[in-house]
Amino acid sequence: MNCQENINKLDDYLDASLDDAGRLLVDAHLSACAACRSAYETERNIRAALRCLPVEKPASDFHQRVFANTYAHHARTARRRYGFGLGGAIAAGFFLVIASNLLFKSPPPAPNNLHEAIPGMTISLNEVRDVKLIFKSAQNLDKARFTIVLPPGLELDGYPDQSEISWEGNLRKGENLLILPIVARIPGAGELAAYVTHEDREKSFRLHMNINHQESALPRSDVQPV
Amino acid sequence: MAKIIGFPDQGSDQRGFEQLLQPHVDHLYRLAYRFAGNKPDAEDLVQDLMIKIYPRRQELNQVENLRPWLVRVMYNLFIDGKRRQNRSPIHLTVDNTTDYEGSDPLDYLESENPGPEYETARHLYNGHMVRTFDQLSNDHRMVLSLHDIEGYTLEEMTAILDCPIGTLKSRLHRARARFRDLLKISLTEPQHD
Repeated sequence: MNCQENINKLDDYLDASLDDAGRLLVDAHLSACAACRSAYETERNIRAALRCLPVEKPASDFHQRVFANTYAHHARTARRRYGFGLGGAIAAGFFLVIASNLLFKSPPPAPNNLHEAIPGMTISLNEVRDVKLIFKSAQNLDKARFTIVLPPGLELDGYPDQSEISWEGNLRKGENLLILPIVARIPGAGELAAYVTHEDREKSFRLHMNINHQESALPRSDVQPV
Repeated sequence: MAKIIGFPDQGSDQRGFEQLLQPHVDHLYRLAYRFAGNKPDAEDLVQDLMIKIYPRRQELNQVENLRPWLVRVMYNLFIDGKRRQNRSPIHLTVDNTTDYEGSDPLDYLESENPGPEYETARHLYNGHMVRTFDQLSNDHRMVLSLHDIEGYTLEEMTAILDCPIGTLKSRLHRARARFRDLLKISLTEPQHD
């Protein structure tokens, strides 16, 4: 190995990315060549100096601020999208009542058999519509898991690019209202599915969704009950 | 009257998001500082990253190696921001004569047993080093930051920068050569064949 070949391999040597044979060749050259040894030391020292470059500390409240600003930003975005608060949302949209009791005494039937007919709704492109589900429960159920599965072209408003969203919540004895703000992004059709599970019990429903090619011209508060 | 079911539980959502991201904030800020070269821009870059990924928080739990994933998103944000800045007719300049907190290189050396390498590094370190690093192009500053400073492997960097390993090696080589040029350091000329 001559000096130029050695210099060319110094980066890989310092990165420890040479194989054993290559490393031994460089070792041998360095032990015999003072000039290349000096080049090696220089390169190594520059890397050490780079690691010493200081970083100015962030503001003392940076951690707290960065998360608070994130939540505030998304809350503002959501408010702009909805245009009104939750109280208004409850009064508008699409209702589906899950009348069956959520408690099963035996293993639940297969989800496909739960509903004899699948209800449907039509939504325009970029229109935000509330799908409201009422769950009736015979008793309080803590830590129920809700899962929403969306067909292609539909999103839950504020949750872009997520076809499945799952979270835990509590069901109280009596009626429980879940509001799903749905927005259409691509024309087409498909089924929206929602699942509620608690321990080994599950309740599901499906809703057939048609997405119009036309952009929405209706205000979001348009009521279209089934 | 029906009880309203939270959709989803934002409090629990936020706690989960913070638990997942908190351990990475310092590292992300440090890297953002290396990219941007100053504190306000570094803070903004991390903030933009958080705002961008928060709607995708459900997916974050499934990301196998979160830190390089976050760095990749932050890198893309930084590049996009630079492109926008370059297209803008308004250009801001930043005062780089900041007093660095804890600017003693002792605070930054990683070696627990300082030896000759430490002494040389200490000698090399001064404000000139900082200014020289800031003079590098964005590309060069980023590859040196990721690899030589923060210790990302070339394999990790291929994913972060979306670039083949051969191209990365060349870019690193050129970045180091440029840094040496700016420092007016040259590797010893070959003495013999």
